[in-house]
Amino acid sequence: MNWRVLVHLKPTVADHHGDHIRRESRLAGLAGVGRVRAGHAYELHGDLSEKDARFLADRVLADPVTQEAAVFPADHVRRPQGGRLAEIWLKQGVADPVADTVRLAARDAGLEALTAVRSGQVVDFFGIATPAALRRFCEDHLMNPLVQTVEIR
Amino acid sequence: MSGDFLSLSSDALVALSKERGLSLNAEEMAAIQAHFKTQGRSPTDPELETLAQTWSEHCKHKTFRAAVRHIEKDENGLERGRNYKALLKDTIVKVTEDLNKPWCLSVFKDNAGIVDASSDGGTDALAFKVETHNHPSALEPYGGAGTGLGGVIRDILGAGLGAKPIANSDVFCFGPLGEKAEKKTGSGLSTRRIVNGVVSGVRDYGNRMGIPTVSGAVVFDDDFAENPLVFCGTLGLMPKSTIDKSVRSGDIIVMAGGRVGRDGIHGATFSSDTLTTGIPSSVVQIGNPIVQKKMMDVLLVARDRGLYRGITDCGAGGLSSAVGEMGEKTGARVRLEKVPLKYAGIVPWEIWLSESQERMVMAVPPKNLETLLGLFADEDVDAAAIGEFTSDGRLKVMHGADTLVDMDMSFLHDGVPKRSMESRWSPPPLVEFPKGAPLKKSLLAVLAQPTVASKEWVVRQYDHEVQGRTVVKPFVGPTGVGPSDASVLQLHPSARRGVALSAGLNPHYSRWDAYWMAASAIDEAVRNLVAVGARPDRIAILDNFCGGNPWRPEILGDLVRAAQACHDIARVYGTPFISGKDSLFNEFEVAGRRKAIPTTLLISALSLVDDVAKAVTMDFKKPGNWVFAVGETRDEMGGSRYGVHLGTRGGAVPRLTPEDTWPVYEKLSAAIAAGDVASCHDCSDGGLGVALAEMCFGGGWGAQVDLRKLPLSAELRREGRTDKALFSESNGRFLVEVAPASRKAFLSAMDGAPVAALGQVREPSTLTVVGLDGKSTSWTLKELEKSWRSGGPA
Repeated sequence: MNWRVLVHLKPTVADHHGDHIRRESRLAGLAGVGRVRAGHAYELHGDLSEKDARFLADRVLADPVTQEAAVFPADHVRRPQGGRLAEIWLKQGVADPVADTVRLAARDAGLEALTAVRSGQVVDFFGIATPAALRRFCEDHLMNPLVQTVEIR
Repeated sequence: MSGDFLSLSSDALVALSKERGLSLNAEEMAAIQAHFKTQGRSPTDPELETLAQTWSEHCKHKTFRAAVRHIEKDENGLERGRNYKALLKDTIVKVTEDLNKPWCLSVFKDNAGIVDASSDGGTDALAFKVETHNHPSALEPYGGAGTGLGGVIRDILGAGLGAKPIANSDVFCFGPLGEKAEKKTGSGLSTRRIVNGVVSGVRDYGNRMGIPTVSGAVVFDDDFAENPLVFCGTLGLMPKSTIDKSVRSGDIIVMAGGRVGRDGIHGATFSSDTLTTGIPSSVVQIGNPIVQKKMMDVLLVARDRGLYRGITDCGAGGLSSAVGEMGEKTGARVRLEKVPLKYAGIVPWEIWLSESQERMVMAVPPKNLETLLGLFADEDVDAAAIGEFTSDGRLKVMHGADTLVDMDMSFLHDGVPKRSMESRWSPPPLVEFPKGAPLKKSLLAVLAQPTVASKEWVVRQYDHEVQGRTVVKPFVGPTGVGPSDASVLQLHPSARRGVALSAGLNPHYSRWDAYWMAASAIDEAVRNLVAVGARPDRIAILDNFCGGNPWRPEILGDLVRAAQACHDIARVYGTPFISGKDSLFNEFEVAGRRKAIPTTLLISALSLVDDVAKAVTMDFKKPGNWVFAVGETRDEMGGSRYGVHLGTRGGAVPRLTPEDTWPVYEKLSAAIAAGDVASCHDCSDGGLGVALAEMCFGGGWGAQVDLRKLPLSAELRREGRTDKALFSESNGRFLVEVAPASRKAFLSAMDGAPVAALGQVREPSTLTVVGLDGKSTSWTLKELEKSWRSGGPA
């Protein structure tokens, strides 16, 4: 089974990247954005149990001191309450060295069942900004449309 | 490719080149057609792609190898012509050959220039290379800049049998900061995005590989908004015994490092054409420095154990270029099914052409193969034998039972038709330099210009300490604020010998005359080395030309004048060129509008430092010390930072009389070596005013100087304009701090040079300048430094 892992900073740790995106959104004139929370996303492909995915999430993908990881089935769609989620992924065919490293780390940890990985970033925009405005902001400020795609949920 | 290829018309051949993104012109396509007619068959698609990669401007430098008919007008409108049989050979290569320096161990033939790092029969050599990665960085700044640095590091690993990278340099030209930085450029990214991406890309690659980034420059100008320039350089240290490499028939072809994916396909050909919108994501490369670090560590062990005979990097064109280049004199047979892949489904021609990063190709004697592969396996680095070098002079590429490529190496390497091109140049009309602005505000405004202002926001992101060799760092002085002219590195902890690295770059001067742009770049790079105490007799320089479409005669005219200046100045300075690269077609075309960069020459320079403990920094050291001006200040305001402040393109661009400046540099070097100089700073962007301000806040001391004592040209003295004296960017000048006890010895060493004591370093934290009219203007160090630090991004 394939899994999706979202890694965020623990609530007690300052989210400077999220704060930076919030400032950028204000400078860009994006209306309706309150708090912003930034994180990393991973798609894990292979014959993996939830226990395997949780093991990778906790031991490889998240720093146990500052971060926390949530594990979902790959087709799970998560939308933050009171806001929208932007998922930014590399396009097919673009080199993904983070994913390569995760695959090697899993192998070193004895998890041979992991066959493919995708890495991306997730941003929770709390507030009432419209999906179209968020997409435009992401394309202009958070990603390069030549090599990345964005989904607003 | 169907059999129709042999009967295609010239127009159809060009259309095919365009459709496939081959970047080959009609003459080149016709040469391919004629060759395959003699073979009685059409080329296969991979053969056509292999030729396109090998013959690309990026790999073959067709413009700089071209015969050029150059016509230029003088100030009176009289035309005169000059023929170059081959532009590079008649200028840069010629002066290097004429100088014939015995300490140049390998020039213009390997992946990097290699010089002797000792003068006493020592065993060290230094390999230096600077590359551009402009097109990729315009489209994907982080990946483009990172892989630009990764690529030049591999050039050093592939110089001779491989050098250990000990320092990186980075030089960037970007669009303007401020409000304009938010505007989208032709690539769809804003300048701010490009700046942040490029700097992060270089930072992440260099830092993660454990190589200090110690030298560089950043220029901001409207002309670079669509086409940023990204120059990445690496210096390597190697035993002299490893500078020669060879390939023998029967050697095994081993590919090591990263695996192959679809990334970067058509990178070389895409870099050899004008940028447009609609570029496919496949040309973008994203690097993985950790993979390259592991590969580097194993390679250096394998080198020292003599496990391979030849090596080169897999860069533009991927395996097609690397194997084709190594097997030029022997022949090669490659089996693509043996190449380690990132994922399944990659078709054979993609494996052959992919520019997936972090790969090197080696020629390995069969008896060493097992040991070498074992060494890589022990360190978890992918490596595979993918073929062998043959003796039939053919490049044969197979995948299973299929033959993709079967071509003569001689046609692949020598079949590209030599170009004949025309260039023109005429001097721009001289525009009067306008009246000046108040001195006090002007200096603060010039200091705040992003090109002049502190680059700490860039440089501090780089690790410039790792490996523990850096003696003179990018920022110096007691509080680490003063911007160094050059960096100095110690070669070994047990010895005081070192090397200094610097750069010279003045692209804006090209709007006046690319000849003086190039001359000024060389002079600036040389001055920077002299200022830190490097040996003037061991300076080696590298050229990196960037320009627009050279088929436009006025653009080629600029390149010709710049190349001629390289010849003329280097001949007098005795500074050989040891390596170089050009990046042309830096134009962006969108909606029919075409914008080219000004012709730009980056000169990177290195020289030896006999005793790093005697290296000099630019920060004022002690109150009471004398401040000397060295070199003549002339009315040369064209392209100056003060001109930018006044919003003018008026004035004459700085010129250079190398016969006059070189003896001064030799004298100043002798004074520094004798220990008579406390600090030294070259006068470049912003002239004397900026140099003075930087020395003051760099050292935390004030100064009082009297410009009436400054060595001035007769014309400027007659005119009596203080602003010109303070902001002129005349070449060949330094500010030098000398202790009272050394004054006599310093003046004796500088005998016959244009030198004058302008004043003294003062304890109060104020810089006071007495103008040519006798009026004083003062600035506090606090306000000078505040302005200088205000020029970065908001």
